[in-house]
Amino acid sequence: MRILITNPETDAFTRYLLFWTNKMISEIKHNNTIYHLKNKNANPIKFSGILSKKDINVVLLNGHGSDDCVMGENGIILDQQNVSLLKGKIVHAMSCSSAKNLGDLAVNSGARAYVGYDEPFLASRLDDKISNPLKDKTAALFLDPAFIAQKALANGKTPDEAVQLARNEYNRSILKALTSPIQSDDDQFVGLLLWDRNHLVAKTKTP
Amino acid sequence: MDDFQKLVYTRWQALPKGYSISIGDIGAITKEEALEHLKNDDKIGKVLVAVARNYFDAIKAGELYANLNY
Repeated sequence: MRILITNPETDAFTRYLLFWTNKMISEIKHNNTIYHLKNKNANPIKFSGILSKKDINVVLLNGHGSDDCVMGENGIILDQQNVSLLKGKIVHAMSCSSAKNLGDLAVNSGARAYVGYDEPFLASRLDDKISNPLKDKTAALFLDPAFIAQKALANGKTPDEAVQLARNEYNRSILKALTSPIQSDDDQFVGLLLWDRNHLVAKTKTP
Repeated sequence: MDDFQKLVYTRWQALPKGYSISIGDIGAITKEEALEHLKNDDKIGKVLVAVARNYFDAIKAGELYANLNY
């Protein structure tokens, strides 16, 4: 499959997303052709360019967002102005709330599916792990499940399968947090994990 | 603050130092900032209350533990 991935890096959270994306890419690159727009390349011009020229199958967006847009490095990378570029593609947006309105718009504009969150995505991280995010076990509770959905789509799973696999992984994270040792504070974050799990949705065209 | 908001506030007071919470397009907030948002009952405060309500509803409905069959 041909996969387009965006990764702006504008703050600690998007830095974490970039680390998790790089880890995922190492796991999926052998069977796929990957176009990775990182940092300042995560802009609407390059985004549109690749979508127009490369017959992309799957689009994996990472970055901040809202009900109506997903952000790139220096501004919006996807909104109602260019959502028609997603026609025929399966999309996953690792960003807040965009599945609420933009997801519906994408599907109505021809996207095969839009997987994402229909409310803000919440995550916790340890302040002293910023230089080595992959060692942050608290952040991993949130991001491991979140990236399961992206990886599943890259491996050819359907959107509903991808969401279910991610929800199963969220359940594992919740169980891990609930049964964490007394020295860990991860049980504080069960509510946030449950929220993210419940708000991961797959928007598809209703027949 | 109503009783539920006070409960949410108290739970956030128990969060230890050293964590940041990333919320949507707001970015990262500290525990102290979360408490301020809850006190002000602003957009972020309302999200934090909604998250807590979702959690307690799941416990009440048995949903939280029903799905954890690993």
